[in-house]
Amino acid sequence: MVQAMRTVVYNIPVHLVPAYQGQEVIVRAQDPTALVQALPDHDLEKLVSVQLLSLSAAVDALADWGYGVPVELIMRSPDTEFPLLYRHAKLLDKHPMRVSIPALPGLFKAVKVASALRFPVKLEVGQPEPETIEALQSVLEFYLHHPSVSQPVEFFHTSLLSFYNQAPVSLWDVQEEDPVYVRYVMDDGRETIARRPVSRQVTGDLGVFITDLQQKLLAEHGECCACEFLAHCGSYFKWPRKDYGCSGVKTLFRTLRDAGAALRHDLNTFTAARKGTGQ
Amino acid sequence: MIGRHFSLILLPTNKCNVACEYCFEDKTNDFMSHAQLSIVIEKLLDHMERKAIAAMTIYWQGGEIMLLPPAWFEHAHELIRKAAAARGKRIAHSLQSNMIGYTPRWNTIIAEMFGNSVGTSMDFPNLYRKARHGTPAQYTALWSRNVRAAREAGIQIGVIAIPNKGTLQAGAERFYTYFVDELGITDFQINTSFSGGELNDAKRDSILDMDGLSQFCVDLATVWVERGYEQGVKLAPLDELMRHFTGEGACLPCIWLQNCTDEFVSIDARGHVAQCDCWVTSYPDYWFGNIFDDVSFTDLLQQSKARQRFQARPEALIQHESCAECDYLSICHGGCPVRTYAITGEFFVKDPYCKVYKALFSTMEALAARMASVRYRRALPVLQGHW
Repeated sequence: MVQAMRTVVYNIPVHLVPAYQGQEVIVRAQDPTALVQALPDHDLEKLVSVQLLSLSAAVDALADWGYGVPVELIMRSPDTEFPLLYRHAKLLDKHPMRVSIPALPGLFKAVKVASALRFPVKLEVGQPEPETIEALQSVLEFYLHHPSVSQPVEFFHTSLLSFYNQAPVSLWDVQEEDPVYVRYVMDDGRETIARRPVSRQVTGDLGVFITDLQQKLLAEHGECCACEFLAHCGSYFKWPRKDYGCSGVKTLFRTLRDAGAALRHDLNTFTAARKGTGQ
Repeated sequence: MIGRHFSLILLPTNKCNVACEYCFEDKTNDFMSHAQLSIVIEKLLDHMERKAIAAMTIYWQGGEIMLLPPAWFEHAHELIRKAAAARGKRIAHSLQSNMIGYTPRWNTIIAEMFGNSVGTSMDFPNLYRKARHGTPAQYTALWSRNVRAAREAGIQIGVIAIPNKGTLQAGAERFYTYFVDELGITDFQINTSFSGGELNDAKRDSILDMDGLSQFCVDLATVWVERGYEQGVKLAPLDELMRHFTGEGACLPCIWLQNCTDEFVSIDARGHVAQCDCWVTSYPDYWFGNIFDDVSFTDLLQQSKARQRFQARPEALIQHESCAECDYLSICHGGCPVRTYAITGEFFVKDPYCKVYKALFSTMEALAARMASVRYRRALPVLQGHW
């Protein structure tokens, strides 16, 4: 089977835009004006998206620029920054938007406000501690069952679909961190894994990083070997600390698995009933 | 107001032909000339170009809009059509009138400019609407006659009704019967009173007990679902809440927008610009500026300190009020600034009708679930044994 070729997307700081001409890029900056100045309207062909690293800057520059360019808001402190989502909501009329929210204090409130404003959300979960797992369980419950949720909350959304479709998708893909496809270029130009906080320089070939990690974990007969969710996770939670205990994140996967199965059952029942009535 | 569409509440006259005791507008005798209208339209089109806004809807009201003659609107319509066409923009029109000055001479322009539709207002019972030196009963009789004549001419009439103390005493069933069965109105909405402008006894009196109003809204929702929902009677905002809670695309009223500054502004006959009609007529401290000043409309909005207060309000509410904990945050966002300010004198607090809204939301959510269940059973009778 021939797979479609995917090119590497580079997540670059705005000052490196000239160095990455012709490459597919995600461009990040603190200031929206810097993005607009570095990326004139006629030069957006290879632009995959932009990331706003500060939620406190004035956003009108983005509102008047590059109609339809995906914009990702990178939240750093959910506890204090969640009100600032209101000033960005007007960008939804102009751009596909997403909010990246780290699993830190204030997570639930930030997700709730983002969802109320109809922002898709990406959770940056890292290797969550037990108290963070509790917060993530609350967010998952909200995502699955609250009637006000109309936009995806990742990674829950894609994982739920993958359980529903019984077609696993690795979290490395869901979280857009597989370095085969996405490279984070640090301010000094070095490339690494696109996972926040980006403090860890990865040595070796990024192109085989995940394969190597998975092979090592399996060779060591660790937790991944017997994990029922390995195909849905891809050892995502075993990096950077290989000794991270996955009991908490498995509860999230179990909830998603059960919800996917319940959804499949309901829809199958519905389909069967329609056939029964000849509709 | 940076999206693909925005709305303008335009008051080409601040003068009114009646004297409703609870009106939130402080009236003046000003009218807008065609030359002034032309300046307004050109500045708005400049703004639409700068902000890549494709379309605008102008909500024409007053004062009382029908104090300007139909011929004034014929000229205005042509003036706006030509100006918009020259810029490749779309401008639609909507008319709000008390209908007291309506005559058949209006029929042509209502058809051509306003899609053969007029929005008007009446309460049941009518306690506060009256002509100068007249009574509410005389007003109601005149309004009813004119509305009947307009409907006979094929004009669609939408009615805004504000519950008052008499409404609560009469009850939801009687209220609904009056509008739908007796007047034949199939498109109406309930609104809430607010004591904007100079305070008087009627305005104080018009602010109802929140528990009583909540119960009325809940009862009205039940009556509407039983008698009107499936018969096609539009009763806002209940109908849009039903759409929302059944997962259809809903158009909720401006009081529940995440930030109304992103959606519309109002300009009055003197050229003053403010958030909406009450702000522009009654609260000079909250004017954004004047469109006839030597400044672009875009800059006027961007530089306005008053507008920055409006923009900051939702952020303040989500931090300092209980809105972030509310199950209905996504459809309310803390409510209406003008109701809040007019009733409480405060700006950065949530809408005082919060309790009423919550009662309405939870009722409509439950009714929507019930209707969805009914529809599901109708569609799939084979499943009935499973329920």
